[in-house]
Amino acid sequence: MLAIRDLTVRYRDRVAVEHFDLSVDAGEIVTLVGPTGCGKSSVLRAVAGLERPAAGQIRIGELTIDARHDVPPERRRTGLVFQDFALFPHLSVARNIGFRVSDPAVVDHWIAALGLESHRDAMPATLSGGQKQRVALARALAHAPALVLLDEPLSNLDAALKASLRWQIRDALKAAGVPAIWVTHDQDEALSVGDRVGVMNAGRLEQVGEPEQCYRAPTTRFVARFLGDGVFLRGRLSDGGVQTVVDRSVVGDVDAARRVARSGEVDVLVRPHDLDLEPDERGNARVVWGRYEGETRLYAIRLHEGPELQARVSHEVRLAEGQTVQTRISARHALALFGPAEA
Amino acid sequence: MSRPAFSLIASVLVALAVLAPIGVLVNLSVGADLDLGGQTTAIVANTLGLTALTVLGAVLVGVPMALVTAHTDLPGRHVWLALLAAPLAVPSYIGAFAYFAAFGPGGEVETLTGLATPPIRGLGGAALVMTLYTYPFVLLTTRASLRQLDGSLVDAARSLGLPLGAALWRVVLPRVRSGIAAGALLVALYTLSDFATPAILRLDTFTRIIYVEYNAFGLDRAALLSLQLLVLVAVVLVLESRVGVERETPQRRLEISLRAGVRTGLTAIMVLVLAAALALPAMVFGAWLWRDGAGGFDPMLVWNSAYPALLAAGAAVLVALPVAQAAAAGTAGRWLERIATLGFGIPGIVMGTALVYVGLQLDFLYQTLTLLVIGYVLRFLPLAVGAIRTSVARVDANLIGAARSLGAPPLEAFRRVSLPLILPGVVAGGALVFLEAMRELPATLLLRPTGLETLTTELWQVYEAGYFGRAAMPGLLLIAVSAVALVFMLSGEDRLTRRGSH
Repeated sequence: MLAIRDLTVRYRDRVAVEHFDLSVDAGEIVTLVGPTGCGKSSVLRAVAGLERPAAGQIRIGELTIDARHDVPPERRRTGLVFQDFALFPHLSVARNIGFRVSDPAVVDHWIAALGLESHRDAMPATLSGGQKQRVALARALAHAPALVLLDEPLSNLDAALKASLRWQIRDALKAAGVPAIWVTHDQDEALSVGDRVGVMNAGRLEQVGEPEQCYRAPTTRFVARFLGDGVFLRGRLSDGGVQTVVDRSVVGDVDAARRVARSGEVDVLVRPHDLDLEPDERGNARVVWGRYEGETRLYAIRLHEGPELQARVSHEVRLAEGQTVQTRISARHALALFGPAEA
Repeated sequence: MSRPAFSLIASVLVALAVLAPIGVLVNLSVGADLDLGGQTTAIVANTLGLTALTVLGAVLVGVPMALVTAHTDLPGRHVWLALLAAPLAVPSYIGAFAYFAAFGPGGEVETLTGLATPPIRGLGGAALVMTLYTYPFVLLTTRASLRQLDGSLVDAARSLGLPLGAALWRVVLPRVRSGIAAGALLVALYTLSDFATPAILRLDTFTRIIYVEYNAFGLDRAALLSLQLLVLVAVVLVLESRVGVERETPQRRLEISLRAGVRTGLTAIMVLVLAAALALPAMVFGAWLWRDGAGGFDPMLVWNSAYPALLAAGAAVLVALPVAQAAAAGTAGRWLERIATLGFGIPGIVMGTALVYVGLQLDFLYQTLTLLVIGYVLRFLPLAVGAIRTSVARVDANLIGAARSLGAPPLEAFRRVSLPLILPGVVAGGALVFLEAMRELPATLLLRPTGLETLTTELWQVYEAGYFGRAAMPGLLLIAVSAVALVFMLSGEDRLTRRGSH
């Protein structure tokens, strides 16, 4: 449906996106996530035709765009949903949604689909943030786009609204069967709504894959850190696999370890829920501090022989500061391994 | 993506057109006889004296009124504010003419009441009249800074033992100093540029002598004087650009409750100021109408005023559009906008002098309506740019992007998105230029085609000829135009905010 190959976007002297490859299949939602300024919005603007690529190729359906062959935005059939919604302030909700739609039934359909019936004659300035976002999405979908591009669609909304609107948008896109690129800087959002996730850093795509894969098996330290909490723990490659200072359990895949190990050492990504804690007088760690999070508790623990780690456990496990605990790695999947960092 | 480039090029052309008169003046003044017989010193002294006295007067009147309308419990504060701002819309020649005719031996006051009054002429008289029509600048800028003031500061000062008066002096005044300065510099700019008041009240300032030289066929000397005046204007403009206005968010508004005696006193002073600035001219012109009737009035004068003003409004809007667009788009555009809006600082008489010379060089422009319209556009372009720029700024680039990605080609996006959003600003800008051009005197006096008499030039002819009675209709009509302008100015802000919130 969409294929981006070796895309580079430049603003004057600054390179915003470089050597960017991504394809989106029919009906698929791909989230692009990364820190502010990583170039994710520039990718969208290039696909929408608001920015000209300096190099590379963008294929949308039958259209091919590169540095020499431009296709104006109005011929690309990309439905763009802006961070600031970009609703036409002088047009009512219905007129925004039906901007270039000749069939009033289509407008009615999308007004109903996004629950905007009671606002159809309202002007954009009178709407709440969530309503504006729904109008913006309805407007994009009503124009029968081949591809929807969402630029941080939830970042201007308050937290309570984000959670529910996230699913409303995803459901609407899936119901319409339109593929989408969804740009966000919120990792939770990226992991939960995307069929696939692309993680960007400094203009480059670091990793793209299914959410679980990116989270559990990040290919770079940046992706590992960006998608969730965790520490890199030194591990030793022995006969059967990799072992850490935490316990005797074997973590990580031997083949993977062999690829990255240097003089028998690797760094193991340990996320807080990969660890289990149990009160034990003769344990291997001591509790530094604990935080109650409702469903769970987060503890910082210091290994007697090793660094400080964080563990997220059930709220039923109540531990006191300074208490000695036994820590073990409880994850059933192989942990991600990296070549050892320079000490 | 090509439109910003187009608007940049257009802005460069406009900026050059605005700078052209200055070049013309330089060219014209080369070789001019510098010897004005020691007159130069007197002209500079008169000009600076008038400016200084007017600024002083405007600050003394404007600052207390800003305080009263911003922070007291005076009933009907908003009505008072509108009334006190009104003199700003009255052209100074109306006031100067009225004061010239009303006071002194044989003046209207003596004729009507038999009371002998001293004439209002010269430095003191001109400063008095200028103060009456310029204090609103100080009132408005000071009030704007006062509104940003946190009332808790005064409470803190008073709880530390300062009486209210001392608290205002030591805590409030230093914080609104830049607001007062901004207003004072506007007053200075207006006073330096004003032609009619010193001309009618017979004070030899730059503007008056430029006109005298022009009439004596000393165009080169008029140009030289114009350049000297422009230096003074430039000094004021530089000072103005250096006045920084700091912004704070008020936690709590200051509210001073007035004692009954103070309230009565303040009300009396405000009534007096309004009577002097608004009622007296209206009564003088009204008395003439009552005495002499409207018989000799030629209605064509109205059309003669309106027609060039309409053309100027249309042209100014067309020129202002690309300038506003470029200014909203980037830094280069903002600089060009500044140059393009310099025309407001060029006094009308100076602009007139420069363009008269242009007319003498370019035959096809000589004494044409076109030249008059060009003069109006160059002078009042800033009004159009200001109004249009506000609305252009509302057209977010993303809106165009949204329209395009919904399938609208560039022209359709402009017609259906940009244009409806810009239109209110365009209409407002055009109306402001129209109202200003209708009331313009000095440039009109110099540039009008032979035989074209407008309301303002008619007023001037009547003054020069001394048939004051015939000034009644033009004077009252111009007061009416000013009233429309005032209503328009006051509602402008409301209308924009109302549109913004719906």
